[in-house]
Amino acid sequence: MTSLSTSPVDPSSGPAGDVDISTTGMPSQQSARLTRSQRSAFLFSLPAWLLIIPLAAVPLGMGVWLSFRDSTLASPLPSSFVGFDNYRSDVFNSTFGQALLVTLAIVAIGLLIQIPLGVSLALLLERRIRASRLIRSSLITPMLLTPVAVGLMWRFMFNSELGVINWALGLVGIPKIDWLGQSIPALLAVVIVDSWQAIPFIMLMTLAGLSALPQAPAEAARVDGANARQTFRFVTLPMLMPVLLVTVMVRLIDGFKLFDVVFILTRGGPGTATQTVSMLDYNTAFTFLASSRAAAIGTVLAILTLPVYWLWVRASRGVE
Amino acid sequence: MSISRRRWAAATAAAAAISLALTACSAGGGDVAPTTSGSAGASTASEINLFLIPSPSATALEKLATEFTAKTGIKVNFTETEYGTAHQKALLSIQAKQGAFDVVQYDNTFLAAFANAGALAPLNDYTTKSSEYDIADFSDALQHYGDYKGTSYGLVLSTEPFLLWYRQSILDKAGVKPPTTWDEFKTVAAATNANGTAGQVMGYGPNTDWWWMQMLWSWGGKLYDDTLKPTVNTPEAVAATEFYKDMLQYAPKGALGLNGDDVTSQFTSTNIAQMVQYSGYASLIYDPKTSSFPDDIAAVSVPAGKVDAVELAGWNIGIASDSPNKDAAWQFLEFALGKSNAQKMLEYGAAAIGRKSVTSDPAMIAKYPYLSLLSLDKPDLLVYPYPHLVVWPEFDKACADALADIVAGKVPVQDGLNALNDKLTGILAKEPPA
Amino acid sequence: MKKRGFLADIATYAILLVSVLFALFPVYWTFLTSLKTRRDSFAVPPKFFGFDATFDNYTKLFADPTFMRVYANTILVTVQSTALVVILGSFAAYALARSQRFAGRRPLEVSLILLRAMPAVVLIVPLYELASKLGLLGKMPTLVIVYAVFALPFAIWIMTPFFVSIPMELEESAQIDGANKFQIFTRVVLPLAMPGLAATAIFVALLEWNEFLVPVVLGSEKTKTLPVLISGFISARTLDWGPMAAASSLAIIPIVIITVIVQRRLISGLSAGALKD
Repeated sequence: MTSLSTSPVDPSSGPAGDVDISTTGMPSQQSARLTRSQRSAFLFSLPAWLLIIPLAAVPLGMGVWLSFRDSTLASPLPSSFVGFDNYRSDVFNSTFGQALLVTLAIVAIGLLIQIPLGVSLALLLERRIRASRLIRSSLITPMLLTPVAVGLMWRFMFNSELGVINWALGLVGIPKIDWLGQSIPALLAVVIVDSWQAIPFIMLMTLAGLSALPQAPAEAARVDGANARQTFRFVTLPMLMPVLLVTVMVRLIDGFKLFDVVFILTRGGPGTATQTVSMLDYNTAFTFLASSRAAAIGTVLAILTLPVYWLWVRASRGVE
Repeated sequence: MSISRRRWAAATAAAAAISLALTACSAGGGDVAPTTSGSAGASTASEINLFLIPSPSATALEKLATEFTAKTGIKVNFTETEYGTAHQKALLSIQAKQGAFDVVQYDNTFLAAFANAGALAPLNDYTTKSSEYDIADFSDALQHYGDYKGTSYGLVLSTEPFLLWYRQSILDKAGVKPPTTWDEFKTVAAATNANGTAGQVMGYGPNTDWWWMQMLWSWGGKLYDDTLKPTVNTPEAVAATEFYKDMLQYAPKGALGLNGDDVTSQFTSTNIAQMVQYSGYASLIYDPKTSSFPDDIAAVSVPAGKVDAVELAGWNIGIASDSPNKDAAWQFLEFALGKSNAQKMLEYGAAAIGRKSVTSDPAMIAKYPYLSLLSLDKPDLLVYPYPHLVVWPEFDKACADALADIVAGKVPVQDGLNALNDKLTGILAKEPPA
Repeated sequence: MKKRGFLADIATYAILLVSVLFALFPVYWTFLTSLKTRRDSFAVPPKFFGFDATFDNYTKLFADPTFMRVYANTILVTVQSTALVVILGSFAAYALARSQRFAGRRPLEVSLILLRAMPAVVLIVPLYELASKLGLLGKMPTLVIVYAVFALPFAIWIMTPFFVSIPMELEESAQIDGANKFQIFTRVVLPLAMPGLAATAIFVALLEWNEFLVPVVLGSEKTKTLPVLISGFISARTLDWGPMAAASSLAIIPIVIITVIVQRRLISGLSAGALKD
């Protein structure tokens, strides 16, 4: 009896342990258990709704509603309905497009660096080396600092004249780089600082995921003569997939929202070279005091992440 | 194994429960409640709330607050909110008619937005009747520093024009005198820019347009005309921009990333001959704890171009329109910013306020030499505060973004300014009608 | 035990060493800066040693009567909201892990995504208006709940795969023994999912500890938290590097302590026992 596989009643399989607790028994018993299971799942999900509806659904709804009006903080008059004007002025223009590109660049380059490094570090740490706990604690620390403080420290370190980084580069003969004053170095700086905080997260997630895995398959593979790389690729990695996928998805969405680092490090500069969509949204809401236009941008951003979600659902289904 | 896990889970739950109980017992943590609801008889109010933005001026006000309480018995509460979120928070609070704050500090650049939103109470009645405040003690430009459409909505909390700061020893070594015109500025920069010393530094970074505006105005240009049409691509504007860009060759490496604070930090810790910077940084420049050359730095007025123009920045401070204690709020403002305490404010570290009684007082000038430069009453001097536009923040950002590309050489000057002019047309169109 | 190459070990240690240096340097630099006078902070070349260490920045912090209260506020809000999130969220995560088609599953998933994806900047204005109408501004419980809601999607997402990876046999045998769903969840599943929950709790606690926008806009002087305090050092004319570095260094301590303690549970996994056969 293979309880881990899909139930004959529910064809849409998902990650391991899908659906119902029991797939044995007569078909009528199965469908009865099915609805009972679904009912209890619904009950289980209620507490979360308790929080979400008043505190998220309502503001989300208000946010979307705001986006169709012309409300700004700089005016005392009640706002009026303006349809899609805000979307036309602030979303379908080159500034937003450029911000999207910048965000995508940072996210993509970031992921390319962070996932391999994070997973590799986790694997290295798993190798039962000495002082692993100490090393682990050290590697986690970047995640722990307040982003505001992190941004400030790094901005100082990236300063062309007074910063430690250019000084260190100078020691090995590299000329001073204008980190925060040129477009490409500024983008790199953002990626570096973001990675600095993100890699520990990925490493931790991977470690936790690795630790929950059963040892048997890997041992069996080794007994069968597979080397380390093969074991990883064909045994460990597939089992690690759910955790990795969630990690990537979280990082993708967070990458889209990336704000603290950019805000403190470059303020979106030089010019608009590092202006991410969230930086643009912040400027519109806080600097320009244009609540409605910011709401339009925010709504579009939220909608843009839905494809990410669909992708993840497909991917996690396929992993099973 | 499972036992210890359960214990650990229980411990966590206990910790959470305990902290929940602690909070329930601790001070209810409510927002500062407004006092009596009536505004009449507000001089019997027992406390007022100040909304401040972290700055030397705010710190000085907080120090004076204790003396105010001692004198009048009115308790003063204050809260400081970081600049980036402060104005939004103040507006949100006032629009919600919370009565949460009585006195509001804000950047002069937000004057138009605040006034247009009806967030500030008019002050003319108070200022014209107060001999302690003595509005005549201010030069004409400063008297109207908090005016929007003819009504005063804010007092001057700080007077911070651009000044030309320079290192005496570096200029002496190169045998040049402090400049009085922009051409001389270039000469000095060229003469001193060698061997690890930079000729000048300005804020070419995220707020590059603030320095650029000073050039524009010095060349006789304007940001927009009387009909609110932008004029940033005129020949004067082009000439000013070319000069601004040209000066980059004498700036230290990394100048393109420097904001205002960075500019000062760099000037006070590395060898740079000249700096164009707001006077408000004086306390940092002369304090040996923050500056490496406190005795070697002096200041003169900003150089003149075709016209003698100076950019003026500063804080305003006003009374919230939903305050239930307006009279008490005014009492505090009169006390802190009146003539009697002007010197004390300076001594408590505030950026100077351009009161004539202060800027022409010999004793004060002996102590703070740059004070005389703040009187802003030279004949033919054009004093330019930031434009009082409701759309100013967006206008500001558009200029900064465009200038960043122009100065970095990514687009030719005339083309860049033409594009900026187009963009500003759209932005200015959103300005509420006069 | 498999014999590992000596070179492989050296390479491993080398890579880890570089990583540790990279990870710790800015922290170290922050700490150093907290001990420097402002002038020394800007010295070129940077001063690693040979400067006059001063505790002025720390004494300045502790002299401020609000500092301890701010610290306490931050701890309280973080602990409570983390507990709220993990408890409420674990139920939902379990539901998502175990049942693909329950009522409201899609709306839940979509809500979580939207909530996570919508920039806080946009949500904060309606939230402010909501809170002000209800008279809930500047109150600690308000912060706790709002923190919790913002962290909920993240927490649920991270917890779900941990529930997924727990084999069904255990739950089935418990069910055969007559336990109801709730009992199965609390007695069988939760204990096994502890490493995952612990990891989630740490991440969530971190988010809450460093949350900035919510306490600034929705909070008041009485509910001030550490990130707000740190941002206050960004004065409009200057940046108080020393006290800011000191506050940051102090802010990191509780997190480090908790992480080190909980790390063992987090990573050591489940030796022997149910998951490994």
